[in-house]
Amino acid sequence: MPLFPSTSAWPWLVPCAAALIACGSGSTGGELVEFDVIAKGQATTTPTHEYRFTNDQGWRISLSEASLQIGAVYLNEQMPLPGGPFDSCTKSGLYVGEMTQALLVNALDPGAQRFPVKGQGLSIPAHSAELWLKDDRTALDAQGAAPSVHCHGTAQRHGHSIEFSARVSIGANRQLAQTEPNRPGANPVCRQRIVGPIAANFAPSSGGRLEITIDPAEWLRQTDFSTLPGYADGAFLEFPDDASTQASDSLFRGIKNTSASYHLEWSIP
Amino acid sequence: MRCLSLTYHALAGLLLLSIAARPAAAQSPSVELPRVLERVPAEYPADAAAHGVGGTVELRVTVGADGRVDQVTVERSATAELDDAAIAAVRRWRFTPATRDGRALASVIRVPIVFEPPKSDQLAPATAALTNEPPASPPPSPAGPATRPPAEPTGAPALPPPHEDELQVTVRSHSVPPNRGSSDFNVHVGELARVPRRTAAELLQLAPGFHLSNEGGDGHAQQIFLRGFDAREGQDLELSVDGVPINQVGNIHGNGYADLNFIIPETVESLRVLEGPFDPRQGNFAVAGSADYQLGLARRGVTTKYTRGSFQTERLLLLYGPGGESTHTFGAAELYRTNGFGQNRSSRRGSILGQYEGELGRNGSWRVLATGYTVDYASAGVLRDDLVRAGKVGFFDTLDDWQGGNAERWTLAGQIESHTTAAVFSQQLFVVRHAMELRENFTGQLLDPQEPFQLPHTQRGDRIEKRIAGTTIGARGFGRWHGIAHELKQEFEVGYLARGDLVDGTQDRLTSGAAVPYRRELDLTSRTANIGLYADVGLHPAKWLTLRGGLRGELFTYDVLDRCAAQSVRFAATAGFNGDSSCFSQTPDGDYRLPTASIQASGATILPRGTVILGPVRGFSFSASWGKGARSIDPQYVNPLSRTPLVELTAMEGGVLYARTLDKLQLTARSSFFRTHVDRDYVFSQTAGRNTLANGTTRVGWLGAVRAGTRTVDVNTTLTLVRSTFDDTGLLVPYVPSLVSRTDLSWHRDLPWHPNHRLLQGSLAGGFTYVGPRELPYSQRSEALATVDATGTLELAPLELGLVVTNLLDRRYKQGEYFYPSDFGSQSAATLVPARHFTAGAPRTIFLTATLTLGGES
Repeated sequence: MPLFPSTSAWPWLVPCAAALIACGSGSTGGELVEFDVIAKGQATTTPTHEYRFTNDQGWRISLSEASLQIGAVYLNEQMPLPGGPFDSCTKSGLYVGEMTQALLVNALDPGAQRFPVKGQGLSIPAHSAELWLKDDRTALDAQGAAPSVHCHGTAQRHGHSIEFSARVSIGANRQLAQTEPNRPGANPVCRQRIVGPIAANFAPSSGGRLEITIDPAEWLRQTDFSTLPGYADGAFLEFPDDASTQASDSLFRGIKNTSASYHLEWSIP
Repeated sequence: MRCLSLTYHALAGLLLLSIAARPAAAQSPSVELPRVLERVPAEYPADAAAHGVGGTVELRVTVGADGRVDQVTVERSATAELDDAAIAAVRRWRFTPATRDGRALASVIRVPIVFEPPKSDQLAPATAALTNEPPASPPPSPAGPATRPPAEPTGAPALPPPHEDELQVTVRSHSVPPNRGSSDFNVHVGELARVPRRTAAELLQLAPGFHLSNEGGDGHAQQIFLRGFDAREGQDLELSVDGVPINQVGNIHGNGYADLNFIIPETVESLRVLEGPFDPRQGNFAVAGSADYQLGLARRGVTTKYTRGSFQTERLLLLYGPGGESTHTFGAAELYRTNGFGQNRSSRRGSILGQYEGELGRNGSWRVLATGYTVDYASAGVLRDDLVRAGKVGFFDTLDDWQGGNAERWTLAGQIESHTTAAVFSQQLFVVRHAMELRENFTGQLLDPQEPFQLPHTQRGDRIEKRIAGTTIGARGFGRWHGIAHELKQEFEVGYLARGDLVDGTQDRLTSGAAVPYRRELDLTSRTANIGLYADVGLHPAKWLTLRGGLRGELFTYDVLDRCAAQSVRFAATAGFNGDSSCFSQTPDGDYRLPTASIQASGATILPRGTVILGPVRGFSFSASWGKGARSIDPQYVNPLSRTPLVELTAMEGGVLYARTLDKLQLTARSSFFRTHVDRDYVFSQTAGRNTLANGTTRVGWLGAVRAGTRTVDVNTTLTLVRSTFDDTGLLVPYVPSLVSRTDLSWHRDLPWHPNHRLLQGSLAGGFTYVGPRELPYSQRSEALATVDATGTLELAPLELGLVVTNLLDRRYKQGEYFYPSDFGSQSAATLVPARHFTAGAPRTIFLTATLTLGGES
């Protein structure tokens, strides 16, 4: 007696093959992407490689050095919500891109300065970005503070001229005073390291490039150098590394100015 | 609150079964009686023959589910000499086992052996008369040399003709639910028990479509994938052992969490796996399907099994099957310990199982089951793939050696079942106590954001510690009536399940390093009740047509006390408020309130189910099934507006089953197409990076399964293909495998060597698993998974030696792969984008086993 009736196996194989093909098609949506991240600064316009501009306080500034250490870059699908509910140092939205290796960026170099590794992300539209500033441990000062931002230059107004230097570190010196006793954690110092949310509107894609353009002129947009300690014509002034003067406070606010100091673009080379 | 404290009146538990299989019953299409494969004639004692002593010895013979003679007792004695001769002969007989709906069972038959004194000129062996030998039985084959009786001389007395009235067969098993079509698997483990399996959960793989994973360690429940469902730790699969529910309602780790590790694999006689909700008997959690473990021990006597092997693994197993009792009467105990195959993978567990089955008159039986289980284990958890690729962490290492847990489970159940000529009644009562502690860390340092009302802090760590303890008390029962109409059997059954669960659960978050609890996230006491009623009809309008269908109604009620109801405040009170405390006592607006909330909810649903079976036609039967299923809501998500049951689904399938017995080959093959639609479910969301409530999903697929067995070979192979998609986007559901294949193979036979004139038996067995690449979020795919496990044994009774090798080819594979954000300090800055994680599969392991069986026969 035959084990199976004398029927062809083909009618069985057809649906099986169809099912096999169907199971192997489709996707779960989105994809992982790798992309380059570069930062670039502003072009200098003088033979001595200085970047000249006039700020809102009437100072004609010539920057000869401007750098900042970017510790990480993050892209988030969440829209920027200024004035929204309390935002901790990490957002609740989905992070769709990140660069977690630091780069010391020369903000006076318009050329592409590439981060050391590729960024990782998802092909999901990003609507905001954050730059996490990091201490430059290679530039410790006498007190052991490591600056995240360093700038040097000259400023002139009303016939007065000064030379200045600023080393901006971010630690307890940037801790905002707690004004509400029942909200002791409303201003965590980690937020002082974060420049964001910066507006973004692009979807990361493999092979693409995230370009961060930094304009150090915006750091000093509201700075009144005359508020620096020891101000005098021809003096060399160092910014206090805190918010004790209008100059140092406005510099730090300028560094964290998300709308003008930084511009993000997505490009596909 | 409605009084949910169910007082389950004990319908004490006795009973069992018994079918007095007189010829009329023997013609029932669902029961096959045992048949003789090999008969050895009794040797007429020379003295008795010389003195003309004869008579009839009536023996009560227990035939195991493997067809071997288990116990032989004398029911009616002739003389001691003749009794011994009859027993000696019958012990060497071989049978095809009794079956019910295709599932092999142990059975008891009464065998009269007639010793007719030879005439004075015929002093020769007499013959035994087997009175129930059917015409299709093969002729008796000679036994092996060691057991061959003297050749019958020419002219030996002829066998008396079969005498039907002398047949008395008792099929010893509880009644089996009627078959629901091609996705209804009554899997007899049988010789496939030889295939290496670490846990009873792996026995599920004898049915098509099961893939098991485990990210939590040896004592953690297996994550189960079935036919396109991620049933997680049982939340979408109704699991039971001899009818006693295993799913834990209200377990905060997962509603329906089902830890199968308490079942000792050697005590599993069979499983009934029904893929899809097609039987009105299926209740809560039967979303992907259901599986019922049926316990039994074919091996009689006292068995001691010791296993030792790789990674300092040791296992001591004691089995006891008392002689003269059914295979459902047994005791088993297990101790196990291992250092594990990598960092932080050690475990220690102990388990006991005891069951007694007794007869209750001629037509009833009772059964009591008691189990105890405890485990303490470490867990390696998950690894970030990028860390392993960078060489910062080894493939078998851990990112946090704090992970692990412990668990225990105690069960007491009693059941009675009685049969009348036209009905079967069954009642079961069960009590289960379970507890567990679970320590996990999936995300490193990611989920502790600074809240404004907290003192300033950095990320303190994402260690999660859960403590859960609960008690289940419940009962189930049914009454089934059958009658004859149009000369065909018609059936009707009504039944119920009632269970109440009282569960306490807490979840704390602990710091990295010192593991200091800093936040209580959950503190819940839930009292839930579930009453399910069903009615099922089985109609046979014609010999070739069976209609089965019915309704199931489910009622769920909840009374939840949440002691940590408020997790955040928007406007804290200006004084007397500690933002770092847990379980706040203020509302979001700052008003004072107790931190507790009591929530009640209820829901009910009616679930129709039906099956049409056509055939058999030349061994074929075609079936089509349709049904609705449901899963209750997790008590931690209950609110007065909750929809419960949370998930409702509609499933359908069409398939064909082919079953034939040819000579000594038993063959079953089936093919089935299925479709399941779930109205909403928890699935992984790529936009949230975690499981979230999603819209509807649909699964369409095909399965095929073949089981073929002879006296020496048993093969079971399955293949399942499935496509799971979201209804709204058409995207594939991540994580669930689309291709699962499993083959189990066992070969055993008597070897041609007879040391000291004793029988030497050998066996080889293996299991091959292939799981195709699984879809992962963001269009990623996991690696395919292929493993081979093998074992070989030599048995020289009473000793058996074995060699077990798992992952024979030593393939390095990832048992589970996941995509989500975590931050384990792998980069200088926080890692916040979802990344690939995995749990490592075990490398090649080698074990030696020594088994000693005394006082019984296998």
